[in-house]
Amino acid sequence: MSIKKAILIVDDVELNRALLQDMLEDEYRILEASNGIEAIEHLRCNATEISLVLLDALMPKMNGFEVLEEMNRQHWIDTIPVVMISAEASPEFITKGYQLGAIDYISRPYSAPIVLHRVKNTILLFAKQMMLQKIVTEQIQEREDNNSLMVDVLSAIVEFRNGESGLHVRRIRIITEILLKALMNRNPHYALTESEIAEISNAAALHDVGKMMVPEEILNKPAKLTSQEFDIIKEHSAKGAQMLENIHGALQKPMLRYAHDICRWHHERWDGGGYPDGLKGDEIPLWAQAVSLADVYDALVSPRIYKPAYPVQHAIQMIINGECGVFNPELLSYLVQESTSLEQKIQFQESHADQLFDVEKISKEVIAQKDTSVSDRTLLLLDQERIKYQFYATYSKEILFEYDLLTDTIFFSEGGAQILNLPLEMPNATQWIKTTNCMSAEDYLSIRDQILAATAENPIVKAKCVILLEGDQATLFELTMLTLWSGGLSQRLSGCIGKLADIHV
Amino acid sequence: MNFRAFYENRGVDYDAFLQRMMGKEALVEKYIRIFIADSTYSELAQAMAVQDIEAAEFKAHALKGIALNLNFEKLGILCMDMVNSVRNNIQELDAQFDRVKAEYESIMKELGN
Repeated sequence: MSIKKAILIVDDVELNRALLQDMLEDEYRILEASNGIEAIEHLRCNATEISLVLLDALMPKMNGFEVLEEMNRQHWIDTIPVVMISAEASPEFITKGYQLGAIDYISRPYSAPIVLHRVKNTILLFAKQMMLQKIVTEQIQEREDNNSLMVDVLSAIVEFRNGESGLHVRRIRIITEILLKALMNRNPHYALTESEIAEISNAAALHDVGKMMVPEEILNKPAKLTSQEFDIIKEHSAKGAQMLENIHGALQKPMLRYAHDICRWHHERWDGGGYPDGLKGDEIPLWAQAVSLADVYDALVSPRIYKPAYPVQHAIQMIINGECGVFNPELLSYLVQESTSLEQKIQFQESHADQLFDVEKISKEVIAQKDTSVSDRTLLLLDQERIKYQFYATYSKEILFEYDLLTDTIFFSEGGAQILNLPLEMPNATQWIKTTNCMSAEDYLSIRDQILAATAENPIVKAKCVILLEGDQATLFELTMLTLWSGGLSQRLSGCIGKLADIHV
Repeated sequence: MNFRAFYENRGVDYDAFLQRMMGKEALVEKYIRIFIADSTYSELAQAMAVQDIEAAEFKAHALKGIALNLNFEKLGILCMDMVNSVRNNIQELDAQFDRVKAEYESIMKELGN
């Protein structure tokens, strides 16, 4: 026997709680809170067990919106869906709930069947979304692991030749990440995402890959270099970029494109005083700017064959004084701001190397496609469409369905499943249609051919077909389907949505 | 007590109401009993007596929710008037409360209290 899922009902009025409890207690375990503070207490103790929160908006002590704010702060809102309930139906009120992360909205007076459907659907949708997110997270984790591993191997080779400890590359990666995160948080103008920062930081590890081409005697010469030797060392930036250009297709991968820019331009300076191209200001890609600063800082605070390690504040002062060239003043200000806690952060990151990047956040970005293109409003509209669809599907007497080509699964609307006496989900749909005689082979083949003949420009399929209902009762249906297409330029069929209307007379 | 007669007297479609209550008359009886014992109305009256407008708005809003859930439509509308007039700074609160009071007492009387 499975344990009932728990629902937290938050309402200051006992009668309202009693009503919801009576509607839901057959299928769910009910927790009650009569104000926001009690609700937070429940969430704190049972966050992992609660499948849904039904939340009244106006309550004494702590109201529903404050509960939502706290749920955002504690990140409970990411895993626990909230449905708002209230007699208040003004648009500002509902919008505020949605903006704070509520999934759905039920207004008084409650109707038992609607409450039950909403609750069931919300829990189901959320569970599916969680599962998808877990899958994406695992894949991203794997991708990041592979990237990091490859970069680790390469940079270990470079460092071995340079006679440096493995630390330098790892530290540059972390410092770059810290600088860019500071930039992302304080200057929205740059619109960097977690995924981009992860890729740039990975790429940063490759900044000195061109040193592979510099003779070892020069690279590790303890005595002062001649100006000729110094010129040879300076070639490593252009040579590193060249190495990456020579790898077929490498520059199509964002990570390697970043690596290319970083290799070539991590010795450029803000005032144009660097090499190899003498780029100035924002002509230098942001990622190369960040790495150049990280590289210089780390070189100063680390011992080198030609110099001792300088203390952090001493090194920062040298950079501010311009002793290592001029840097992007904004990035430099972040380095100065972070400098007191920088070494602590680096050490923390080092000891948590497996969590170098926030994989979970990156996954959420991927799922949400969080460019700047998807605004809150778009999400709100999507959500409303979903609610509308649910509503129509619940009350329509027609059989509505979705077919997903990839998984060969038909999803019926609740009413549809009832009429056909079938489950809501029908996996292996093709097999099932062929083996049960619910539809004749001719009808099936003709519908299939029509789907195959449909295109993104002419996506509608219409057909009449006879379906055997329970008790072998042959019924004539009119089938109307919209084929769905995905995949940008090379449009691919991904499935269809449609309805079956009973036209039996 | 005959709830059908009580509701139909008040112009409410009792069958539709019962359907919202999963068809269970026992639940109707249960909620009516909770309604009779509920202190929201007396708290509203108390707030009005001491002219605590903020508390009055809050309690009127709560009573409106209860009224809607029990299909006391008129009571719900009268409570909403109170909430709206506080929010829009209208000075008719006492008169509006008198109407709420009259409606509440009429319901309670018909419920035999």
